[in-house]
Amino acid sequence: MTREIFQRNIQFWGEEKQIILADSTILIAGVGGLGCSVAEILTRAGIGKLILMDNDKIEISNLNRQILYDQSDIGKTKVEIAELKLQAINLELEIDVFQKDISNLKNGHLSHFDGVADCLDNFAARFELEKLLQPDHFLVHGGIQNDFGQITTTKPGKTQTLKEIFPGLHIPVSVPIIPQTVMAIGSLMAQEIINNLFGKPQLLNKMLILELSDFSMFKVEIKK
Amino acid sequence: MGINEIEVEAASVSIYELILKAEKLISKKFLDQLIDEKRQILQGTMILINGRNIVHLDKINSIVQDGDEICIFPPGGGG
Repeated sequence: MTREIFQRNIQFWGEEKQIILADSTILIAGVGGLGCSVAEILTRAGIGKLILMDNDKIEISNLNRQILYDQSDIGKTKVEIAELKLQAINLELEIDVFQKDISNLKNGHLSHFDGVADCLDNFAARFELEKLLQPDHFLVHGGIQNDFGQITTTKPGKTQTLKEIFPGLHIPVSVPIIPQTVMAIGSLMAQEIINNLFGKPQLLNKMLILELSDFSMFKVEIKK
Repeated sequence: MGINEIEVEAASVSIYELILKAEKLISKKFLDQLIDEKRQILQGTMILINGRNIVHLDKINSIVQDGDEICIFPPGGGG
C-alpha cells in the first residue's frame, strides 16, 4: 500500500530515489508553522522516519499557520498530535517524539538521523540546535517573518554555522507570520532537505531569500 | 521587506558612506533602520559584502570596492 501512496513521486524521481527517502531520517526541530509543513511534505514524499521535537502545547493562535492542528487539538501537545496526523497519512512512517526544549536535549537522547529541519522560532534555540550536529549531518535552516523568509543548508566544517551567519541575533519569539509565508518557506525547506538526501544540496554556502509580496526570490552567496 | 537592486558608483568607500549614496540615489532614507546613533548595526539586520557579513569585517566601516555586491536584508526569526 505504501508503494501506491508514492506512485506519482516515483513517476517523477524513480524507484531508486524513493528508496533513499524510505531509508532516511530527519529530525524536525520545532513542530510549529514550518515544522508542520516540512513534516507533512516529507511524509507525503515518503521519508522513512521523522524525529519530532517540540515542548509546546497547541494554542488557538497557532491555527492560522500550523497545518497539522485543528480546534479539537487545543491544549494537547504538538508532538502527540503531529505524530497522530502524520501516521494517518503513512502507516509505515516511523516516528520518534521528544516533548523537550532544545536546551534539554543532548545528542545521546536521539537515535540516528541524517539531517535536521531547523523549524525553530528563535535564533538562540537555533544556536543550541546546531551543537547537536555531527560531521555527516546537514541542517536546513528556515526562518520567516511577515511575508518574507530565508533558507540555507549548513554542514559542520563545510559551511559557516548559523551563529556565524546570523551573529548576535536575538529576535523576539512572537513575530508577525502569515500562513502563505509558512507554507512557501516550508515547501522550499522540504525541497532542500530532499536535495540533501539525494546528494545534491543547492544551498550550501548560499542563502535563498523569498519575498512573497512581489514574488522576488534570489540566492546570495555566504562566505567566511 | 521590498527587494530591489540598485547600482551605486563608488570605490574604496565605507559601507556607511555607500548607503548614504544609495539613499540619495533612490531618494529614500533607510540607514536609520540599519544602525543606531552610535553606528552599531541593529539586531535583525544583515549586511553582506560579497557574501561576507560585515559583523565579521569592519562592521559599518567595512570598505567596499568597485564591483562588490552588497546584500541588505532582515532575516526572518520565526518558525
